[in-house]
Amino acid sequence: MTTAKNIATLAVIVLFGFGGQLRAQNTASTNGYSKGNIVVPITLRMVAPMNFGSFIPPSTPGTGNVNVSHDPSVRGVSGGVTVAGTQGATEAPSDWVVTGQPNFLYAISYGGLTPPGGAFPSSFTMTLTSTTDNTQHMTLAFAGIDVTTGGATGFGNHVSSQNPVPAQLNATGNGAYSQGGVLFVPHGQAPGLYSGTWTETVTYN
Amino acid sequence: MNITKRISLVAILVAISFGAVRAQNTATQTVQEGATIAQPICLFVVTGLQFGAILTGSSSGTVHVAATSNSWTETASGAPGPVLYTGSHGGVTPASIASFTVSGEPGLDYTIAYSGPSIITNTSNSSKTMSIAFDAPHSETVNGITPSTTLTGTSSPYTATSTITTDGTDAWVVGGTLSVGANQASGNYTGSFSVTIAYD
Repeated sequence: MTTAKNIATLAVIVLFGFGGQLRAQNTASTNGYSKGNIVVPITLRMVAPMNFGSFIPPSTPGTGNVNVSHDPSVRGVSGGVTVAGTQGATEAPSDWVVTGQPNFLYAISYGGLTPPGGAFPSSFTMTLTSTTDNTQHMTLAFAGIDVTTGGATGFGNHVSSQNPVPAQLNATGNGAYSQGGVLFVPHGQAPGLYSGTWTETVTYN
Repeated sequence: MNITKRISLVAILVAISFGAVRAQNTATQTVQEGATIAQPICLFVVTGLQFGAILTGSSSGTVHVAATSNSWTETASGAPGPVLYTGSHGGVTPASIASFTVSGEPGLDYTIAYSGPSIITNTSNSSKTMSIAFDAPHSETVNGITPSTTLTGTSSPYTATSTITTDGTDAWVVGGTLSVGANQASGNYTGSFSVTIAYD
């Protein structure tokens, strides 16, 4: 009696074993996975305009200049130009803030010239016009760019203005840079407030 | 007495087991293999269906990862809808086609079935989703495993039949079309889909 019962129990166990094994052999199932990434749109905002302050033109024939380069070591006036007031009080390069996808590379270009990898003219300039006499002009030459948040790539931190500047957003998707210029001031330039605008562009690359 | 009883019980047990085998295999020839010899069929995910980095546009559109001859392509359509970001990914996983390998009994046919369409969800905002419509599975070399047959299947429902190679392996890929909304919220989107294979 006891023996017979043991055998019956064993038989049931074996049967379950076979049943499970058969199912495992016939079918396999797993999960595939899918991913997509919508990139955070890149934005650009000017937080401070390029400002050359107040100054007096050279008193003798010739052309001086006011330099508000991205590089502080070369800022100042030269060629007979005199600062009106305290030097450095208002003169400053333009400041820009970029937001977008963390760690993504982007290119900075300006003046409406945006060919990736294309060269700017060797002396890239724009014209400022007097707000009270639109026949009066001065010429501005753009200087380089200093990437202050995130990183500049390829050219180091102080970069040439000759090409679109490669830069990289930081790990939180932020970037910032300053862009300076040099204003040429001829002897006898008419007094007044001079202004002008240009286009600054950032593009993922 | 006891010995006789033991033998008869074992005989019954074997009969029941074989009965179960028949129920799950249609060909008589495979009964014995299914019970004791056939290699278990196994499915391995090699890569996921990934769409990489996408820049959204002002209108909705699609991004399609499609199988080609032993490769794949990715295209966006619906301008000014989504466009592919082709530059440095800055840590974003690049695109890939879903790829699978199979091991099993050489020469056996099996059926592939998977769910769809699938939804992928923004990992930081679960109310933001995108949907994927899968393509039919496509025979392709994966991880050095080359299929012996050209797989035929349909994309709706998503099923196909293939054959295990003489090496006891098989491989195929699955592409799909991602629907991207106008100005789709930025972020990482992830999801999963179930894939099942079974001996015919």
